[in-house]
Amino acid sequence: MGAPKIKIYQLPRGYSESGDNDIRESINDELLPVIDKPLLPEDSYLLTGVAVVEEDTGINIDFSVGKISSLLYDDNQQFQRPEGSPSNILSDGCYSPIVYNSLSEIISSSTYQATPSGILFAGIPPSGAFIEYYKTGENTNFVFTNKDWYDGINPSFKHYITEDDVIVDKEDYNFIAPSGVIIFNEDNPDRGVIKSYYSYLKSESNLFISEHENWVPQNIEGGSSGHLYMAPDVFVGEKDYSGDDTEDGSGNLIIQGSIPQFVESGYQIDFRKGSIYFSEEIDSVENPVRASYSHISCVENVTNQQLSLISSDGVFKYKCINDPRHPGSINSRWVNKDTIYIPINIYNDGELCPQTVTVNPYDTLTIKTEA
Amino acid sequence: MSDTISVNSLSGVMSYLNSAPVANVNFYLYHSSGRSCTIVPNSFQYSLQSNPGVWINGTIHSQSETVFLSYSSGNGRSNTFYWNVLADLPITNTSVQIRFNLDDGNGVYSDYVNTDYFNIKTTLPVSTLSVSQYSNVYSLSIPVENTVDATYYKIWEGVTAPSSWTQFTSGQELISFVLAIGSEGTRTIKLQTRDNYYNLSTINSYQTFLHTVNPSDCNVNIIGTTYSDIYTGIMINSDNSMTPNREISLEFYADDLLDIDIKISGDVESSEYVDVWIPYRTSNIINFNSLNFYLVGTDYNFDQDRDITISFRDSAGNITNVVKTIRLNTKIFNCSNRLLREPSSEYDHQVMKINTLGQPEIVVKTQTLENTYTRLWDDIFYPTTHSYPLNVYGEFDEATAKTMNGVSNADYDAVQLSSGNVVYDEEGRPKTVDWTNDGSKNYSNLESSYSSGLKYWILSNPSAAEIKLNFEFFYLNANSYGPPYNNLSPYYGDCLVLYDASAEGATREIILNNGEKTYEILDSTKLVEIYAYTGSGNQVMELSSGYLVSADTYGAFSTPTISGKEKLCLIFYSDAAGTGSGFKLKSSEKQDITFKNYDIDEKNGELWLHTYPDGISYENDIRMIYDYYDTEVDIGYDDGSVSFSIMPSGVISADYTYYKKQEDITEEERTRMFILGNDDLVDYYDPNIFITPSGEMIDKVSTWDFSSFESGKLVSNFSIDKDRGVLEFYSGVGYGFDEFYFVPIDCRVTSDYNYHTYKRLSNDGYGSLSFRDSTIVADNTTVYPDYTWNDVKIVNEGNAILEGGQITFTMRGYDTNSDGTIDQVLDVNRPWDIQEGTPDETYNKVAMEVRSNYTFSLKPTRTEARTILSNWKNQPFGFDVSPRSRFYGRVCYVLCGTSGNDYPSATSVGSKTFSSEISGKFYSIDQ
Repeated sequence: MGAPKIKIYQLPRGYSESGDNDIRESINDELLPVIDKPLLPEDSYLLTGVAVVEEDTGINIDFSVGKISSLLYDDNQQFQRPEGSPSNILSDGCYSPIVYNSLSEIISSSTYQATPSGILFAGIPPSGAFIEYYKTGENTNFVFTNKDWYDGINPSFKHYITEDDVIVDKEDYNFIAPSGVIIFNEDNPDRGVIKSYYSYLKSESNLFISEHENWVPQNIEGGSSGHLYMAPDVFVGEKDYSGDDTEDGSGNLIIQGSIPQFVESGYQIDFRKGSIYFSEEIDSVENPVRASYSHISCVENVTNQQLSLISSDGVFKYKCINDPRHPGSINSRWVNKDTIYIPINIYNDGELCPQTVTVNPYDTLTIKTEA
Repeated sequence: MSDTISVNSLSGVMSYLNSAPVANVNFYLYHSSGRSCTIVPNSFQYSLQSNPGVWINGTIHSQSETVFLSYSSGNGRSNTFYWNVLADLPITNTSVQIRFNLDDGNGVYSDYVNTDYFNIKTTLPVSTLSVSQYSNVYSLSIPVENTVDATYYKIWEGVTAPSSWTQFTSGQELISFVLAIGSEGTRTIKLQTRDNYYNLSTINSYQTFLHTVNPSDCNVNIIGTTYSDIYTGIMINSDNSMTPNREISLEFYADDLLDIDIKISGDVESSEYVDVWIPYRTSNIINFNSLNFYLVGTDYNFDQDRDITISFRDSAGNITNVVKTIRLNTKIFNCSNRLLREPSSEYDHQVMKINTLGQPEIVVKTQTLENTYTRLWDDIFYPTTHSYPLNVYGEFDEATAKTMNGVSNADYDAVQLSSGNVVYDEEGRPKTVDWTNDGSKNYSNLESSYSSGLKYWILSNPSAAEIKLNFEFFYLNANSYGPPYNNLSPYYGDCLVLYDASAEGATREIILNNGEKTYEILDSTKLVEIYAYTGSGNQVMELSSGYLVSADTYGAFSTPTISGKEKLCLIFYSDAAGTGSGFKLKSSEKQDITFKNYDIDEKNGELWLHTYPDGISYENDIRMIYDYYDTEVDIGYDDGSVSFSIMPSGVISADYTYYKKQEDITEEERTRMFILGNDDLVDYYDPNIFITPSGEMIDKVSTWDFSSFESGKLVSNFSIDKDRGVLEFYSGVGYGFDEFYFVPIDCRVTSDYNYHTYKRLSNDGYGSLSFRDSTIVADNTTVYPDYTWNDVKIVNEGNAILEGGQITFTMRGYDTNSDGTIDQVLDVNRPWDIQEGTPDETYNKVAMEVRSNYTFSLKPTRTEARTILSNWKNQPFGFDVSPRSRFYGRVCYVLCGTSGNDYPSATSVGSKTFSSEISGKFYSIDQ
């Protein structure tokens, strides 16, 4: 049965009928598997507040010995040593010493400075204080500035470890998730500089991440690659909206109650990474951050992956032959799309390539005289 | 003593009498009393030497003497009589002797006397005449050959033979003969000969075709490598690379009563077809057949005119020579760099030549030629018994049309005249003003009722520009007749259905010898119906909507604007009976013809300059400003590779997205839904979906077969939500498989489709109109305006007409208890999407003026905005909205009200949200 279908379009400035280019044709557009957005706000995805650490140098820890608790002894008026006067106290990072007063209350770290051999108090040291500390260890166990690392499935925010700026295969170490401790499988005291990229959980944060990359974006006016009805809705906290109660089939009132509160602005979405950056920090304990979005599935993003020359027969062909971060990308099929949300960028020494060179003022052409 | 009779010196000899052969019988008659004698009846006899002693009665010639005088002395008196040899020995050449005896009437008889044997000849002479089958002159030289015995001849044209004979002087003679002045065509020349005895040959007739007029309308097209008839020399390959190619094809057109031979000569390389006459056709007209030749020149750095003479010679020897010139230009300029940047809306190369003053001068890439145009298609008459007068080229014959004086005749439909001149419309098309609708030009029944017999026309619109089809006459029989009904027709009754034929694989391109392209249907299943029409005069109906189009009494109407279609296909279907007189579709509007001054192969950095108007290159320096890429990057999507044409200097890295391997995909990730790159697809065009296994090319012709796992078009087990731009494969559960059975594995899913790019405000969903001014205030200060506006386009992409349509601006949400406030949201799942602002500061101050065309001013004045609010608030559009039609609206948000100072009594800050609704009624007609 036929019916009218009326659509209304906002005209661009300077519109003319003869210049109407509203309808366009897309050829060979590659369709991607997608998971539809949840219909109900309360079914939206809960996002995780994190902070991203782009580069953090690992610190050796003797994690096997564990935490040592010891009284502090007077050394001089301000510097105090634990029992046994150890010289290998782990004094940096998230596993630096914790000092308690005699009432077992934690003393603010701002009042003292931890050193490998003891605690240097800024003022008069408290009497009866004791310390909990880790020892520095062999060059196989590492901790970093922060713990509570994000260990979800969003590849953009999962950690990776580098040794002398080369990404370390995950098979080569154990990662103790909440502690953020890296333990290498082999005893190799000659390891290079260990660094890590990671995100750590932060309930009060500007950045909230989802478990999915590649959210479907909204339309771009006059452009393409967007989807009006599949674009994300963002919620912060909850709200009991008026006028949203309904009735069931029997006429009984269904009280909707509080649902996630829709927010229209104040944030920026990174559709590729699947994250939201709020202009103001949000306490997600008070106001859980949620998002309802559609996302591309069965794919994974790779960023700045190094490719290796595999053949030079007429053309110079490069492929990834080893990527501990994205082992699944080896010999994978690439998505044939190049949009601002699903880009394909090729770099030569970090510069997008090919590079455009302008011949200016001019090139005087020569005449071709043979094939 | 009795008398005696003696016959002496009797002889016989072959002779003639009164232009007929006879044998003279001579003798001397002696009678002792000098009496005359007569031949004793039945005594005149002859005997063939071949059968001696057998005497046969002979026949004395009727004009011969039969009473012979005598002398009574000596041998007597000489006498002669004539033997009618034709009567006794026709067509004979033999030796005979004769005898007879005489009676003096007085009882005295002579003895029989015999002649010696002598020859009798009554055989006919034989001669032949050689006359050419065709002649292009009146004075002929005709060879005549005396084959047997002829000594004289007569040659003449017409009924009456000349009286005189001309003697042969040799066995073969060249006779000059002048044909009678008169009409051209078949002339008959007659020949008769005789021998010395007037044995006459039969009269033989010989025919020659007199044709003295040279071949007319001789046209030659030189088709070079780029189909230009001005220049050639370089083949532009599909990848834009350039290959020298001096080959040309020549097309011929000539008209003549007789067959024509052609001869090619001039600046073309020698070949079996050069400088020889080529029997080129057997029909009356050479019509764009072609032969290929190579121009004389060099493959590189050559730039000269080439002249080619084409001689047309008809069978009578009449010759017309045509000389054509084309520029052979094989001069390619090299840039210092390869991999030039492709031109775009943001970038183009600049080519410069150094003029005579030594100054650089930009060479424009293309220039539009004035007063020249082409058309995408010509006028289409159906059935073809309808037509305006045509010349031999199949083009409109203005002269003949004028003679019709605006009145149709049995052959042609009349065109409009004014003061004796043909009236053309604004696009230069003659206006047909009369249509023979008397049953003499009806179309046949059951047209297009079988797939190989489709009656169709494919209209090419290469730029996919917006077009309308303009019908000038339309007389189809809308009534349904049958059975049998037309089983291929989508409708009962005769109809003309317009399809979108743009889909790849729907049609096949056929390149004619002259380089013109034509198309035929390759796969009719890929045709997508757009409109279908039936009816006649002002009762023409668009069938999918069931609504009459706006046609005049002749059935003249135009389709709605059709956007984004590269090809359209019209198929005419008729049913079992009923009559109608067909239609005329006007040719397309004029298309500018542009001249291209150069081609550039960006990949290889090569320029071929062929400047207006002669296609010549340039002798002096050519300069070019351009961008180029420092390397070529080719991405191998299936194997995840990047290839460079030039060895990169540094570390290569990449950002990309890859498909996970099946074993890495979690249960949560599996989906049957796929998303297109865009949403808001055009509703009346169905997208084509293709499945292609990894490593294969997309096959847009075959059908995807899950079992064969080869690329093809997806035709089943899926649905598409055009508004959202998503495809969903059916669940396999209902088919006895798992849910994801129909989702192809390790394949790419691609689609060709049409979509909107303008901001969508509404299509049974939600969208937000942004007014031109982000802030308006409820006062008349000049800092901020108190009104704003924006313009919209409204389209009906359904398949029914909206009648009595109107747009109403209203509250967003529901006022269930009618207390003036909103107490129920529109969508309980989106409760935040609700009215913001009071009625008096929102929807009560908004109205939209509609127009069928976009003729709004650049910006409405305040007064105009107030007028729109005053005149258009809650007003119907004023016209029905046909399927696939569009119109325009100017939405004015006039906070100052209709009076200009009717500001809301209370205002609120912040954004405002309210709704619009389109209402109306519609009818659908189902088959």
